[in-house]
This record gives sequence, structure tokens and C-alpha cells, in this order.
Amino acid sequence: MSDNKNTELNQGAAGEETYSAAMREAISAIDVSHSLSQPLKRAVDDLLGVAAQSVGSADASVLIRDGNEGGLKFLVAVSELEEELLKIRIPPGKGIAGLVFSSGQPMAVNDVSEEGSFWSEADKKTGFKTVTLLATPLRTRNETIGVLEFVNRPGEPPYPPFTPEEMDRAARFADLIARLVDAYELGVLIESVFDRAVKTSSSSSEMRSDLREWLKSVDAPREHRELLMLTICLTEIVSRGEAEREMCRDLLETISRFTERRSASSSSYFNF
Amino acid sequence: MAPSDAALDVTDLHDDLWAGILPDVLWKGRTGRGVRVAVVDSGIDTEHPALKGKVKESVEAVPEGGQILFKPSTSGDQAGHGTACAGIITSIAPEVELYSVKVLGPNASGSGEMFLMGVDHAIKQKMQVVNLSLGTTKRDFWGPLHELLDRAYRERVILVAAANNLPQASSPSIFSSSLISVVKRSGGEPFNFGYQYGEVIELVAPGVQVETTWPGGGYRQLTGNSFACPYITGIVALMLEARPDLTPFQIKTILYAIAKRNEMAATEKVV
Repeated sequence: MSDNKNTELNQGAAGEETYSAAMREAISAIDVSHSLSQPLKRAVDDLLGVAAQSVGSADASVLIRDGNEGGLKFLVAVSELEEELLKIRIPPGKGIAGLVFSSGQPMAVNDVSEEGSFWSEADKKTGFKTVTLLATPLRTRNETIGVLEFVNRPGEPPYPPFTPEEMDRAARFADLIARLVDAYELGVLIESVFDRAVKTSSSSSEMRSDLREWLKSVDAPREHRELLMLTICLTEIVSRGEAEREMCRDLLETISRFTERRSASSSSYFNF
Repeated sequence: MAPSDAALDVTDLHDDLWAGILPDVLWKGRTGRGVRVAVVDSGIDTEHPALKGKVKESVEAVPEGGQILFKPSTSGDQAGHGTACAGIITSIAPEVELYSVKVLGPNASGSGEMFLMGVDHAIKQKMQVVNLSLGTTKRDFWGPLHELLDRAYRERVILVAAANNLPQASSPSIFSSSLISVVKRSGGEPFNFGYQYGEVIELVAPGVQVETTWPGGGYRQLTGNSFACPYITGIVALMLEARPDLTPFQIKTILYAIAKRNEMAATEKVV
């Protein structure tokens, strides 16, 4: 190869790098990294406010998975102490929330300050006084993804306990909030993948390999990681040619049909 | 005359069929003595004054070498759920032999797999009644769980599960052919349980502001289907003391008959 040609190639590579850098800068300037998840988080917050009013609680919060070992963290809270609450991590199996998350069963406790154990770290750290509490699991079609908690009543104690009707109402709100939280979590992961892809200056195949490795270790719900892993694998296969593209299309259609069939058969459980 | 034309009064037949099923024969004066009851849950506080000496064995799920093993548990019940259920069971059947199978809590973070293995362990240990005040919505586990429940049925292990009444189904309570599922109601006397025929949920028992044991020696007032389920577990234990040979099919039939009678008595009172 002549020196002239080498120089051209080098110039081309340098130009591509400059272009990539400019792209990265532009994307970061418009803050793509929060454009998916933040509106969803705001929607959860708004719905939580309505739920608290409907259930008749003074405070309320949405807790989501913290890792894959059963820990929980606060996503949003209707509380004067929201800022402090968002810093708290609940270890696996601790507290009423941890219990509701792992047992999958809603629960109301009249007075947590009565004799007996209560994981009161959140109260200690925030200076809050939990008296009466209602917790219900946040479930998607296939997973328990968090806990919806209602704490105390407006005004001063003693508070009337939460009623079974309020418990049922809380479960209905939990169903709606769970869908938003699921979308939020997937949004956060997609943003992270996008962010990482933008920051990676290597070739397409190296980038995909890097993303796959990173996805294995990233702290996100397993089902979401698997979904994105599948997307990356399909992207890689598609890039190999028309036959592969056709195969991926068939594969996706098969998955889609399977999902529909499964949904139909699963819903029949409610009817027999 | 075709059978459909026969002057058959279904109500009379129904009354005749269930006439011999009476609480006096089934559980009056019984304490559940010697009946083996497993609580698959968050553990049991064995030192609680109301439960001391009643827990014959405590094991907990431990992941080891890609397997889940059940080893003697000394970690008690940090969550409280299992202790609360045990207190309700013994309030009905004070002399049952309790076996704690811990699958929830800090050391067993509550995976669906652990839950399944807990039920499997209880069946292998030939428990007579298993209290399941917990469930899973993970559909991946529904198939294996269904197989487990069928095995329990064949081996005469009675499973009593808390129902999940709103808004999604969760197993095992949806598998109503092979176990007894229970939902809460407000107030009422434990033996005066009811039923919801035609629903996935089968029995209705007290589960609102139930005062029961809590780790650390105290008591709590709790609300949830989790706390309706152990009442029925206790009643089944009483029945098994009186008639240890009863099969799951027979027990469900008896519970239905009594629940129907309870509901009819309640209606007559209102009228």
C-alpha cells in the first residue's frame, strides 16, 4: 500500500473519531440519559399522591428492588422527609416492606410501636414515627418488583387502622403503579445502555461485545437485562446479511406468537 | 321416566348428604394433639412464651453448591410473618407439632425456587398439614408447583394457602383442585368460616385485625389473607386428630359442608 493511501486512511479514521466525539458531546448536551425514565418517575409520584389521598394515609412511598437479593430502596415518597427516605436502603427480608416483598402477600399492621420486633432503621434515620402501616406488593405479570406502603393517618395519633376496603383499594393502585415502575426500570436500563454505547469509541462489534459484558454485571432487574441482551444479540446477527435478517424476523414473530398464546392461557386461570 | 323428570328435591338430597358432618364429631374437644403441621414461611420465634415447646423442628433453606439444602435453623424469625401464623394455628389447635420451614427472610431472600423447595421438603417429611401464607406470581414456577401439589394430594398432605384476591392470580392458591385456599374477612368466630363457591378462592375466615404472636415475645394486630389461612390450617389439624385417615378430597368436602351450614345459619339469623 502506498504512503499516500495510508495517510488517507489515517485521516479518515481521525475524521470518524472527531465526528463520534462531536456526536457524543451533542447527545450529552441534550441529556438523553433521563428522557425516558424521568417522566415515568413523575407519573409514579403523581399517582402515589392520588393513592395516598384515596387510601386515607398521611404518607406513602414506592419501594423498588435494590439488587437481586431481596433488598429494597425508595423510588418516590409522599412525605416531608422524602429526601432522607430516598437515601435509605432496606436489607433483604427486613421490615414489613421486606416481608411483603418476599411473601407476595399484602399486610396491615395496627401499631408497629407495640412490643415486638420492628425494623425501625428508617424511622431512626429520618426522625419519623411509624404507627400504623399498610403494605402491598407491586406485581407485574411475572414478578414482584417492589412494595407500595401507606403510613399513618392525617392528624395526630392514635390512628384508626387501615380497613380491608382500603387494602383492596391499595391493591388496585399497586397494579397501576407496578406497570409504571416496570416501564421506569426498563427505561433506566435502556438509558444506561445508550449512554454506554455513546461513550464507547470502539467498532460496532467491539461495542456490542462490551455492552454484553457490561449488561451481565449491571444492577438491573434480570428480566430487563435479558431483554436487552436479546436485542444486542439480534442486532449482531442482523448485521451479517439478508438471510440472517430474515431469520431474526421469523424468530421475533415466533416469540410474539408465543407471548400471545401464553397470555391467553394464563388469563384463563382467573375464570375456572 | 327420564332421570331429569324425576321429582328430585335437590335441597333435600343436599341436606341428607351433609347431615352426618357435624363439628361435634369432627373437632369438638380436640387440640390437634400430635398432628404434624409445617409452616413454610419466615421462621418461627421458638422462644415466644405462647409457642415455647410447640416447635418440634426448625429448618431453613440454604443455597449450597448450586442446590438448596435444608439445615437446622437458629436464626429465628426476623420478619415476624411465620411467628404470626404459628400463633394463629396454635390458638385453634394448641397441641399440634409445629415444624418451621424457613424460606423467607434475610438468610433466605425468598426466591420462588426456595418456596418450591420448602413445599417439597414438607411433603418429603410427611407433614400432615402445610400452611402456605405466601405465594409467587412467577409463572415459571407454576408448572413445577402444580406437580408438587399433585404429589401432596397423592401422599395425603393437606396444603392450605392464602389466596391473592386482588388484582392478579398467584400460585399456589389458584390451583384449587389440589389444595384449600383461604381469603380474609372482617370479624367473625374462627370456626364460623364461610366459602365462596365458583371463585378461585374457596374458604373465607377471619383475617382482619387478628391479634397474634410476634417475635420478641409480643403480640400484633394484623390484617391480611396470610392470617386467615392459619385458622383453617388449625381446624384441619383438629379434624386430622379425630380422623387421621381423612384424604384431601374428604377434608375439602367436609370444610365445604360446614362452611355452607355456617353461611345458611348466618342468613337465617339475618332473616
